[in-house]
Amino acid sequence: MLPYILALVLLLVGVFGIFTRKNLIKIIISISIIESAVNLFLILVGYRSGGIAPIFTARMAEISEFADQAVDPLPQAMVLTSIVIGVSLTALLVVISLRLHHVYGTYDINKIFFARESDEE
Amino acid sequence: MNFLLPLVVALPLGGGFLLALLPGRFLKFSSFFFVLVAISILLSSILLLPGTGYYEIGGWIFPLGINFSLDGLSRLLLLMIALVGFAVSVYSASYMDLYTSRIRFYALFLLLWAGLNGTVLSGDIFNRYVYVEIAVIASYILVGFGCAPHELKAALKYAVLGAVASAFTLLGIAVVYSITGTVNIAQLAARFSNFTEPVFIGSPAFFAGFLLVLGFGYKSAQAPLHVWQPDAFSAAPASVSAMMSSALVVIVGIYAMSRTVFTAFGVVALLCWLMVFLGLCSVFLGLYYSAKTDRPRRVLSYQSISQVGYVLLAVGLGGIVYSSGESLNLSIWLLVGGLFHLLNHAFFMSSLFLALGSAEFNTVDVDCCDAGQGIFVDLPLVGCVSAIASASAAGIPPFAGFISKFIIIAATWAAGFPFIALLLVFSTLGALPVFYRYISRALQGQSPVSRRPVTLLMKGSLIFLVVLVVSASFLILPPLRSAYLDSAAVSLLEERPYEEKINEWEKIIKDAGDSDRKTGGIEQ
Repeated sequence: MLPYILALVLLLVGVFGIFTRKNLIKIIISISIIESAVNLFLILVGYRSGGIAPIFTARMAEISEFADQAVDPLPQAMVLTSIVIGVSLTALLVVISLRLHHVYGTYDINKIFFARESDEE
Repeated sequence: MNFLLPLVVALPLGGGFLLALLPGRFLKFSSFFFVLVAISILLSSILLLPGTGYYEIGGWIFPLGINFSLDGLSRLLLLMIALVGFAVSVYSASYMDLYTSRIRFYALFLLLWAGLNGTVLSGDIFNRYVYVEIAVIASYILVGFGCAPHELKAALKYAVLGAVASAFTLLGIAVVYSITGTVNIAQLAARFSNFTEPVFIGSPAFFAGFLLVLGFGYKSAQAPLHVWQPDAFSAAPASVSAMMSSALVVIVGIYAMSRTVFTAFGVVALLCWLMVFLGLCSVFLGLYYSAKTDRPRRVLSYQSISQVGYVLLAVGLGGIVYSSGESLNLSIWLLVGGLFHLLNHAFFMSSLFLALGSAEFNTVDVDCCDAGQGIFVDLPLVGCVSAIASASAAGIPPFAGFISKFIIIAATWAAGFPFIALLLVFSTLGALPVFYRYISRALQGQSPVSRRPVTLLMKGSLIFLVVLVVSASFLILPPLRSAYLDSAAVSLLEERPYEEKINEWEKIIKDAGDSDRKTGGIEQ
């Protein structure tokens, strides 16, 4: 049960970060934290204690023996996909933040979003 | 025709990547190629309309591998995306003169299209999530395509909140997987129908459904979660706003949501009530804010929220009536009304956004377009298209928008929700002055200085769309209705997809004594 609670705590840390931090970079880090928490949860769903990696090798005689020991491979495949999505999203957010930094010279969202129109180029 | 199924995703995906490789000097060729890809997607979507079926990707047998499935609802939506997408592509080929690096735009637009088609077709909820992400990430970039500060800010707001919504969607999928052991929609339908205990507030299934509905609800810009939409639609190029309001919002929002709640979970009344709540909020908040503002892009954005609210409301009510088991006929009518309004919304919203975009194209005076005064004075065709589309959106009798709203309101009343029906009558009447003001302001006063004439391609796509707006009414005639709308509603409500094949598989799994997934799983 403990790993689940820790994943939940990690998720809440990320959500807290998004809604309280004012720095764009910190907000992007919070998003990565949320994504990691969800990935962790997915891995936990497929985990069994003392399980082996889900790779069928010649050392195992029976497929049923393998099925009794291996952890669930499907969530791992999902996590792999979700990590790729997360990375591309992070890259996109960083690029947008950089462009905004070029214009406003700051990462502070208060200064960016409530800037007077005359400050914009 | 099943070999065409992967093609409607592969064509835009492949075309998009090829276009992304082209250097900027092949502009003419790339515009031509872009429109060619759009036409071929439209053709394959039309060819797919008569049939249903599934396609196993990579040859992995059906419930085990990833699959595309086509049924009554998805073939209709596939055609809707293709029609709007085709019109928007032709339009963009000359509208995008306003922007630099147009080839990147073409590539991203096709990526968005591939994501939408994949979302409609994919037969398991995790792959649906991946396709939704493809579409949505492409749309984040397209919203900020102009790279002006306000455009980047709109894209950032949309992307940051969208990332959170996506993470919660994925969490919902993880919970669904942990209670059922599958993500295949057909298998989920079979396993959820075997659940003996009902879904109640606090049960894991409800928690998962709640996360999924809210996650998809964010992407469909439903009322409490709509904050990104007006900014994004005001900042994006007009063709992107048109594609997003008519296709992205309803496909990755309403379609993904209702497929989950209806087909996978098996019509859960609690989640349907949540959909009705979101729909009702959007109908009124959208109307309220659209009446408060004068800026044309914002009027259209808020009206889009309001109109999509009708669809969600009707679909949710249909689910409630169906799960109470009172009248199957009435629930089908509610869904038919909702789906018909969804199609109408796609056609009239894309015409409105493209017409507004033509006015912006015509003049470079941004402030004047932002004020909306006299923008259609010098453009009779554009003004005419806007007026017809507004009439349909406002629900003026001969047009399709009236018919769909009438069906929704009448069926809501007949289903025993007279209060909601009265609210809807009130909001329909409230939309009339909003559109009247929008059109009359645009047609009166000093017209801005014309810089670029509206090109033939843009005019052609506007005429194409306005023909769709008008001819959509024919869909409600009995032979067409029973062939398309009714079968779409039935496929959402009643069908347990590929039941025999799934039952066969469930039996094999049971015989193999695969009981460890639930018992020996996680507890340490």
